[in-house]
Amino acid sequence: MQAGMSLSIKTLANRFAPLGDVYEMFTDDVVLAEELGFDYVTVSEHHFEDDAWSPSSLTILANLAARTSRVRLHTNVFLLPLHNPLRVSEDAATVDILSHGRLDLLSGTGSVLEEFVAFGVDPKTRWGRFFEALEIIRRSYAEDSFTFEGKHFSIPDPIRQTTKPVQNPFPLWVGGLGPKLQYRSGLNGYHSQSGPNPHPEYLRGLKEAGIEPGTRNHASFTAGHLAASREQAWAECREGWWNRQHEYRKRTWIAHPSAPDLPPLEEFEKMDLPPADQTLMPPVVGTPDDILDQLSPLYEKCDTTHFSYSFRASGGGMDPEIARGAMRLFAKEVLPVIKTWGREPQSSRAID
Amino acid sequence: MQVGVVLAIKTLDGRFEPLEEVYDTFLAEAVLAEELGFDFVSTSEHHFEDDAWSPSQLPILANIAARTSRVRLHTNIFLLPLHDPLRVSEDAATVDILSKGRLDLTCGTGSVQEEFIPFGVDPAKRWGRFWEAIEIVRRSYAEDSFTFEGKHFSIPDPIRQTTKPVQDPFPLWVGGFGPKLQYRAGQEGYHSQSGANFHPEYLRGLKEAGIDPETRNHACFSAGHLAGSVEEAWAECREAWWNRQWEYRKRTWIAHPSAPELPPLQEFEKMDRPPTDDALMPPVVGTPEDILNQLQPLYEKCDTTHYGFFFRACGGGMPAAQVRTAMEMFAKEVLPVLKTWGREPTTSRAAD
Repeated sequence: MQAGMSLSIKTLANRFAPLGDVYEMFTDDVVLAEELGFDYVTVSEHHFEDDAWSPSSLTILANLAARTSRVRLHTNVFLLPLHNPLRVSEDAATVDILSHGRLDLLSGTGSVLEEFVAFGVDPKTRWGRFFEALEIIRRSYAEDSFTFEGKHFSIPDPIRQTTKPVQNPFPLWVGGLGPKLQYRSGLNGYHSQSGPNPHPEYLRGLKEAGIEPGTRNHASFTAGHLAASREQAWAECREGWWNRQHEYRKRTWIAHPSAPDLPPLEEFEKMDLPPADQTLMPPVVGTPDDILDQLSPLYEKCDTTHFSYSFRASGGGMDPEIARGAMRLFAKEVLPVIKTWGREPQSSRAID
Repeated sequence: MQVGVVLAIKTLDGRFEPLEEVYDTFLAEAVLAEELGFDFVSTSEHHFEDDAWSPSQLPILANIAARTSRVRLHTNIFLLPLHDPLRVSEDAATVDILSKGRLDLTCGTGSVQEEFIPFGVDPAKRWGRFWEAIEIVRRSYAEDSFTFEGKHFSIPDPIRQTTKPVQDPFPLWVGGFGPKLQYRAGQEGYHSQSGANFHPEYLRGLKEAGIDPETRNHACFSAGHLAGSVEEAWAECREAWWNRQWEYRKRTWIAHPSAPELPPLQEFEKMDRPPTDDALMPPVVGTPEDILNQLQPLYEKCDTTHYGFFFRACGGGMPAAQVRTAMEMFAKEVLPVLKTWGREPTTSRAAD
């Protein structure tokens, strides 16, 4: 499978670094990832977060397009209902053009109440908006001229969205864990992101639509950190991990139950290894062997075509040289192994 | 004054080129502009045009940010009422961060009916949306946390737009020719773009607000082409010029009267020089000396701090080599003179 690096560009709320430095550090990491042989990089999106989680994934990918030439560029995930679909169609096509056809647009419905309210979007309409928006994007690329009449969006007079992406068909993905979302995404033939294997409801949707699953890609991801031992890796990333968990708990989650209260960081500093409780989203940490041992049961035999790893345990504030040391360890000892796992995609592959 | 290159990234409807190549050509010109000593590079924005005029300025500027280090990056102009202001706030701040504080955001109200309708925006509301949106952008940068209650936008719960630009204050500009727009831009202290001097109503607005005009910038631009003679320059750019005029005439203009009918290109091919009728927006063409002679009455003594030149007469389809030659001629003989004209800005200057 293709192996990528997920970026969660952010700082720490209580040790807020200048964003010029933060963005430079993360974009430099991407250049390093390309040199180290990763196949793709992903940029994530959240809004109005105290740790300044980056909100503008396509703008960032447009910048990365100029700094790289081989890696593919993914959104993971693009919060589609918060955006106007025609604007997304234009911006994504622009990034695809700027990158000579290296963009994968992976969209999700969003699940943070505060993000919807600020953008004036009723969160209850997010499913309807989501599938209408995806259809508008797809049609704006596939058709020379089109109109659209939906419950949420209306394009009454024919428009020609003349800024077409380079890739045809352009890779649209749907990411999320809900069975209805996955079923409908299969029915519509989008690529899918979920857990380590395609969701059974996604496969049912594909089957009903008569689509061969081998022609569709599946992505999955995890977060963690690498060092010379599990203890060291955990000690280096737990502040970033804890702060991210802490930020999550400031939000109102509408898609899934809120996480339990988070004990203070000092409690985790007393622990030698990450907590076992899955609701705390423990990071996958350790030596390369430890990482492979943890990932092998999930990913060695699976239908995943794209697996990505978020360094820094998806948190902010880590010393860049420590994070880059982890990237180098991963590239040297984990990457060659996981590239032989899962399934090779027929599309959305890094340039050889 | 500061002198820049304005990019109108596009092709020709009748001879549509692959957009990858078109964008590559224009991006290379942005890099060349920096090498040649220009002070800024602007992009422009239109939507759903048959010549694929680029719709996504901030992603494009994010890309140029990675390819340049000295020139400032301008939008000329950003059609603010078509966009969600919080999204603009985030995207523009991201470009400012990625460019280390080199972005100037010049906004206009838009004037093409066919652009408003697909985005679901009532063109009659563009003024109201414009002023609310620019205030939201400004406040999202100036304030740690804020709410907003307007006629068009509502942010009911306090949000922290934590992705602040590097520049503080961030340069927001208003561009347009309407007296009411210019008056209010002055009252609210935005920088201004209009004709060759500050609009009198803008100055009245500044005065009422007690703002020293010296602290505010003024931008202006024109379009043209340079070659060994007026005749040669006109012959090289008239197809591009004509096609752009032709595209304009496909649209419904809501801000100013529609242009008169355009005679066929063959008619202009019989002319040695551009038409003199201002309604046809004749390009400024000729040798460097011809260009200076045409610009001198307008710009030698004026309040303009930023002057931008659209090469290719703002059209598409010209051979890249002709454009590069024109840029080199301009840089060698026009640029040094223009830099001594007008007024030196106190802000938004290229890095030395």
